[in-house]
Amino acid sequence: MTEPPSTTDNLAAARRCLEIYGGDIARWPEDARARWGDIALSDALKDERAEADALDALLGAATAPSTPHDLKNRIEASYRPPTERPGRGRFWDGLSSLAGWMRPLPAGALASLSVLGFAAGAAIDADDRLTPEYEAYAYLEDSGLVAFEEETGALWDAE
Amino acid sequence: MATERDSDEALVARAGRGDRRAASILVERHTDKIYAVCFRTLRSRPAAEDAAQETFLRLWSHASKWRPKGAKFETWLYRVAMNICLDQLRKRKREAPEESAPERADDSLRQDDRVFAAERRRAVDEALEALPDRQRMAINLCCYQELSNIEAAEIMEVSVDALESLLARGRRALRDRLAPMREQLTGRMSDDGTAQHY
Repeated sequence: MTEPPSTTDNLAAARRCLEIYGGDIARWPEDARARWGDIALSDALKDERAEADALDALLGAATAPSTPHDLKNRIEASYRPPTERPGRGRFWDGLSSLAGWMRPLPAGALASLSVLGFAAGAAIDADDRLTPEYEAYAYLEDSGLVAFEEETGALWDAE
Repeated sequence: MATERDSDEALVARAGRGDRRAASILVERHTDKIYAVCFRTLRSRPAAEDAAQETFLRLWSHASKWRPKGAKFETWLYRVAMNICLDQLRKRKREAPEESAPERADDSLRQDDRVFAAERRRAVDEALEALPDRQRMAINLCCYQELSNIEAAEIMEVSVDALESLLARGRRALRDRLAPMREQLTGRMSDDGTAQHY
């Protein structure tokens, strides 16, 4: 658990706020005002507050800028609505947005095709091995009981 | 149709789609503040006008693509203005490096016929002009534009601690510079009752 700040610490913090934000406590940041506002208003910091107030008053005497009367008109006149480039229309906009969407496609497509190829290969291989007819035929052929007629695709007795 | 009640963000989006009325409301809403901060940073009316116009030109060119990204529109606009001002100040220093004192505010701005008020104003203007650029910016944003410390820090792209340090150093420098005339100036101010709070 942290120790509560001492009076000296609080005085130093309030003094620093006066230095940073001036003598008008209402213009301090909310948390600083809540924590050190009362201390800044106390007699302990009377001199510092008077000093900060004096500087605030002097700063208020600086030349106040007034916007030249035609500046807003000039700025308004500088507005240009966004225009489509010649030759561009919905088709090109659509195409360019599609191109943007397709940018990550090559890598993705390659990865998908690899996975698809691997899965298909594994499936075909597994089917060949697992078909009972294939196993039966392989057994008969290995034992010389049948031969495979390549041209007709017919199975016939080895004898 | 854009209206005065629309948020800045909605107006920017509309302006980006070609809504001239939305652009006009943004100009009406922000020009005074942007011009003021440019003027107080650059201390010259023509330079401040150029900077304010440039700020809005950048807004128009970014309006169709502008996205909030967490920052308020006004904070973004101030940041654009501040960057333009900083560029101008750097350019000024490159072009006239031998001039250590910044340009004086236009004499045309000081048409106060009361000698003491004019004297006080000149002294304060000169003290502000003599500040390092970033200290002056911090004071402009917090004291004159009345932005919060968090907003000002965001605009200047520094931490709140760094901003507070700039403010403290800036105010200390102003106090030291104005010290010789402070008693006279503050005395006069309270006599004639013209002291202003910014």
